[in-house]
Amino acid sequence: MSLPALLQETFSPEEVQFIVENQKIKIFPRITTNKRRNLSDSNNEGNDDMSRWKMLTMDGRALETMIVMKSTEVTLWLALLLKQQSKCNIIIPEWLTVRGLELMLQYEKRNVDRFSALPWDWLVVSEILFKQAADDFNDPIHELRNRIQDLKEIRQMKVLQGLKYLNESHLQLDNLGILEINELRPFIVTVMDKLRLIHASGQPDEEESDEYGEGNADDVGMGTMLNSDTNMSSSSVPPNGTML
Amino acid sequence: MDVDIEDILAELNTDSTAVDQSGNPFSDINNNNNASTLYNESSSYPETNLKTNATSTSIPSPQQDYNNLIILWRNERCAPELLPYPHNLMTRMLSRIQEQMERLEIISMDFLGQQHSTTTTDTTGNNPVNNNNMLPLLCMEAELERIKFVIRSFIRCRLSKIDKFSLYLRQINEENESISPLQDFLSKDEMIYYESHSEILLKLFNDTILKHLPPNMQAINDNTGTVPMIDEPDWNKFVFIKVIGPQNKIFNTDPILIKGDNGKWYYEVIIPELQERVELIIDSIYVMRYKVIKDLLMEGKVTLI
Amino acid sequence: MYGDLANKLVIEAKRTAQLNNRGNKTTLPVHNDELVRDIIKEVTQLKRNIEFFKEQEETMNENGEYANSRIMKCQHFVNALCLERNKRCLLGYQKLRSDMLDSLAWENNGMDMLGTVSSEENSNLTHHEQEYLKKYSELLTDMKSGELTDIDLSGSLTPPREIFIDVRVLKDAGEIQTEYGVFNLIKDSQFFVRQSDVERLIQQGFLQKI
Repeated sequence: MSLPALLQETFSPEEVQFIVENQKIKIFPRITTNKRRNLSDSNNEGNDDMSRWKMLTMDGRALETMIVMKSTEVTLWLALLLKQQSKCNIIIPEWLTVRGLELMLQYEKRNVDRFSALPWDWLVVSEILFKQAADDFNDPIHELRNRIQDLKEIRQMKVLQGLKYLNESHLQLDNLGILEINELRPFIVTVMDKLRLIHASGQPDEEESDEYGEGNADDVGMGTMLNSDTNMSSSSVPPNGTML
Repeated sequence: MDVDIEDILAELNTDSTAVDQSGNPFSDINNNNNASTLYNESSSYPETNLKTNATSTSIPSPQQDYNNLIILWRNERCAPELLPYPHNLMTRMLSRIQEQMERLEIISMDFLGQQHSTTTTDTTGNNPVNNNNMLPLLCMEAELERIKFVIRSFIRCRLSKIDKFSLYLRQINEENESISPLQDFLSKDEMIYYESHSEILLKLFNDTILKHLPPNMQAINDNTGTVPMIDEPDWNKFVFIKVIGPQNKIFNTDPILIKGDNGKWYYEVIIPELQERVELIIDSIYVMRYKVIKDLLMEGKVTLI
Repeated sequence: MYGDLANKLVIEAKRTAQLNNRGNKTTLPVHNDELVRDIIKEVTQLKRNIEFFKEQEETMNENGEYANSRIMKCQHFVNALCLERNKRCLLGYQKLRSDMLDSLAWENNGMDMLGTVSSEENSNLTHHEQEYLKKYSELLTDMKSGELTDIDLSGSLTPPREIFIDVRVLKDAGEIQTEYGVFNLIKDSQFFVRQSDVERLIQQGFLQKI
């Protein structure tokens, strides 16, 4: 197989991190690349192209106009690379502070059936920054880690509670993070696909007859939809389907 | 150079957004990217070429193309069927990669020359990367590796689907040639792969099994038996979606977008098998049957996550 | 019972699939020639049965023995089902193996496998499978050299993480030429290099990632 079976099921954790690394983050450069401010730099031997940034995934201008300690925004992977080279400090996002995480925790505790509006990449970003930008935090990292762990656990509990609502129709999962989704995906999809088949097998007349390869699946589906139109308008909002 | 902690604190206070009101933290898709190049470009086969001419006046920026490529890659990985190949986007990507590789080669050759003229290699001191001039090169190299990875993973995923559905692809190609010729659906290379692989695979099956069976049992694509031999995509497979909305983000220009009583905008979809209507609210996340959201996906109004 | 052999083959295939899902390297067990041949023999037998039942059915119909004819028809049907099932099992078995051969080819960069794979692995393949693997590897090489030359299709499917790394030299390895200059790899020295430039040297134990 040209794509390993594991990757056909869901994204690998490394791939999730890769996706997250395309996001923007603020940094304080520790170097100045802005030409006008950089005239004193004698190392610059007039070869313009040498210090030019021609980027394909972001605007290179943000990099060409860096000034020491003047905050700017770059993609996360690049910030990490600069950081690794000691060329910048990363500005820790506001939610990733003791105060910010406390707010989220309170929300999680107050609302047993909702997820707080943490950024979609909260688990991944916090893990990356703890590891690669530990010295850029103002708050003690162990305190942040504890709260991240608490958030993770309380949200996991809610997910587990919600699993009993898995059905053959659909789910709504607002504010769930990318890593959380990716980890849940194989389980949720498998269960819901099975429920779908069970439901369909209870209605042998029309639904899901494509499972048995009879005729054109689309035609059957469409026919069902049109015939039952009156039926549907009488049924109000479906009782099932919304989780949490 | 040392960083003063006070400056960071000052920056934090002025520069950051309050946690609870930080816009839309879940927005993992760059909102302002002009995704007119997403599937629109390729969805309504066979109009692809017409559309290309129309949009050729405004070529998407490299950043837009990259953001769209990430979306397409994630869609392809999550979708149960093979999605259309983004011909134009890929052509642009590949030519930019080639340019960039040439550029990097020139830059690094220059460095090599400089290095030789100034100093010889010693064991620890000569660390060319500590030179600030080297930094752009370092970043560009790293970026290039990232782009190559996405394309590689994207194509490898597509090849695995081409293999999985090769009989099905042949069947739809023969049945309704006019609707979506395979040549539009696949890249030129993918087309070659599809044809050659089908051929050698069929030869293997023939040599080892089929030719030993009774003559009327030798077909590989026999759908007359109790179980059809042609694997179709599971159209109703559950997928995770994020509702994006119209590409231009101007909600009232989207004829199928509905404004609810609570002021939230949503698309209404129907699950035929359950005779059920569902509201797909903008910015929300759902687990939904693929067939139900396929049209929205093709228009770039939802993405698979 | 008809179909038992095919069931055995499928169970074997399932075990192979499970083993390979867990491990990271594809390993193909020996092709079960004997079982496959026996199943094909059974297929021939089933085909003969079916023809016999059909004939019987017709004669009985002509003689007006409708009850008996229906019994024949039923036997005919059961045999046809067995035949069909055997075909599916055989193809399923072969499909799993060809999928694994594909994986092998990708893992080995589409290089000519037959030279590089250990002879033991090689003997696990039938003649036809060897031929298939060769052809598929050639196809990959073609794919890699087309429009996608720059991409290195058979490269890593793990996202690039550390493109540049610090390494320490464990054994003298002489000079290497990279885009970033010439490095003289003397024992105990350290370098900041592009990972892809030194991957091989790390594997061979000359360098160590710090």
